[in-house]
Amino acid sequence: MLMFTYKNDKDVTSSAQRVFDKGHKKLITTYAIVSALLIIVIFLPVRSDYLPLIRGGGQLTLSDSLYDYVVPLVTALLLFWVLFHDYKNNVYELLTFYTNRRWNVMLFRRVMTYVVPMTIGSFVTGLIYFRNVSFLDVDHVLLSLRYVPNVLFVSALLLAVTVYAKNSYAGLFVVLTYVATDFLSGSRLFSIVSLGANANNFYYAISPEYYMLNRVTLFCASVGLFYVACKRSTRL
Amino acid sequence: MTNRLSVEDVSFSYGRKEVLDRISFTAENGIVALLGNNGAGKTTLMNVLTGLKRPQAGRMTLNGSDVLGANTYPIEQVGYLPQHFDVYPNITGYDFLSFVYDLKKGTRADKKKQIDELVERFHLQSVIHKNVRHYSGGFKRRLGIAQAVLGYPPLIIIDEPTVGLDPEQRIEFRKHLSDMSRESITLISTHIIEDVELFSDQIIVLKDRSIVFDGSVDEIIGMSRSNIHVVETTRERLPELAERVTVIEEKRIDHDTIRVKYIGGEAVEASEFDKEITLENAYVYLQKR
Repeated sequence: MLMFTYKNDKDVTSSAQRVFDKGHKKLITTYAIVSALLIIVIFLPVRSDYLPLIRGGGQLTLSDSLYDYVVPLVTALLLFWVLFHDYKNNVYELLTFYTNRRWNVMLFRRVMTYVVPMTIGSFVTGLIYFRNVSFLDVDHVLLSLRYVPNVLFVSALLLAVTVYAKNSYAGLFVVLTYVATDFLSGSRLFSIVSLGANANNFYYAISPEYYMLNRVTLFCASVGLFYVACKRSTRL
Repeated sequence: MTNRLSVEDVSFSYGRKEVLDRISFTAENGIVALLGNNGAGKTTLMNVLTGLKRPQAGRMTLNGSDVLGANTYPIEQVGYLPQHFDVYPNITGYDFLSFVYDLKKGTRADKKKQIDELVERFHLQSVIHKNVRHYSGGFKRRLGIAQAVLGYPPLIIIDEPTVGLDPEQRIEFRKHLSDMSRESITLISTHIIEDVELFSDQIIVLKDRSIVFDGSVDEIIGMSRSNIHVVETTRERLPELAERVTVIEEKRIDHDTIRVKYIGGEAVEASEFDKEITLENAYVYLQKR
């Protein structure tokens, strides 16, 4: 029995929205963040000599940190807000009871409601950010696509720690510590699972293989963390 | 309709620490009280029966259907009120009940009727359209019981039903439990004997990971009657008596006289007092023997 296949059950979708995001406040905030990001990149695009500079081994930390660190961190803060009351008031106990025991589709859908717009928002605004460097070609798409693992990984990390610790603050603490120490150490502390592969120019400063391994590792770890978190949250 | 619950050889452990050892019992409509001291395994058993923890062994059937082995836990068949029930503070009670009703796959046609019925039954009319943050502990508990009863499931599981309620609210809550139990098996886990003394049809006592008693209130009292003695003593002599026997109840009769119920050995002296054994006395006897 597919208990939480919302697309087949408009009633559940509608009442779930009223319970989890009354008045669409969280969703509106998500779109407001993406809109703010859009405005920022429209007025502050990346410098046009971006590609020659990084090919020469330079590090454009300021230019890349917006998408390497800031956007993922804002997404994590948004998720912290989404999950906050689940663990503050033990609401999760009853929600777990009403969950399919194999995989927590309800939690996955709730999280994706915010992570997907933030990820797509990051990609689309990234295209606009890099419009001076390249336009509507493969480079243009790849330049923007390379930030996607960061948003997914930080979101998945926050979700997994929150679910395992049954405490939203634990998730936030781990993410803030990870992001801060990674940024301050110039990606040396977490190397292969660092968020700063773009800001610290892993591709040219280390090697293309190392850079790709970092991106693929983050993406696969995100998928794994989302999976285990939604699996773990089916039981107390 | 008479419902039937059967729990067979349920065992659960955290790593090497065994918490439940081959728990078996059956139950039919009425209040089934699960008693046990803190740490006896009551909440773990509740979590296993609600599918929130997976047992290492055992089976649970409800009206012949396997509950724990099913692909999806049948939330339409089981109502659950956890000990720490709470809801998002910024939603109304009505929105919450509506959500639970939809999760339980209730029909759209009956939704409003059934919610309104439960709102009236549990006297939630004055708060149902207000945000839950404005609810008192009593209203929150009643909202909790209403969501468990939604869909009128044959089995309702309630963990520590009166924790956090004042004496007046506890009396009212017990009445609700009694009403509900006519149509369903209402399994209540508690360490407050008072909660179940009046209305329970079946008592199950958990001790050291296993069931040490399964029967009616009369049976548990009958079983312990011959082992509980009553004597009147003075305050000065009480410590001496307590050294020889296990005192389970002390009641002050006047300034110096104390009536004592105790277990252990033969009666210390011939008792002229009527042995009025309560469920609490019988429960303490079972725990201490």
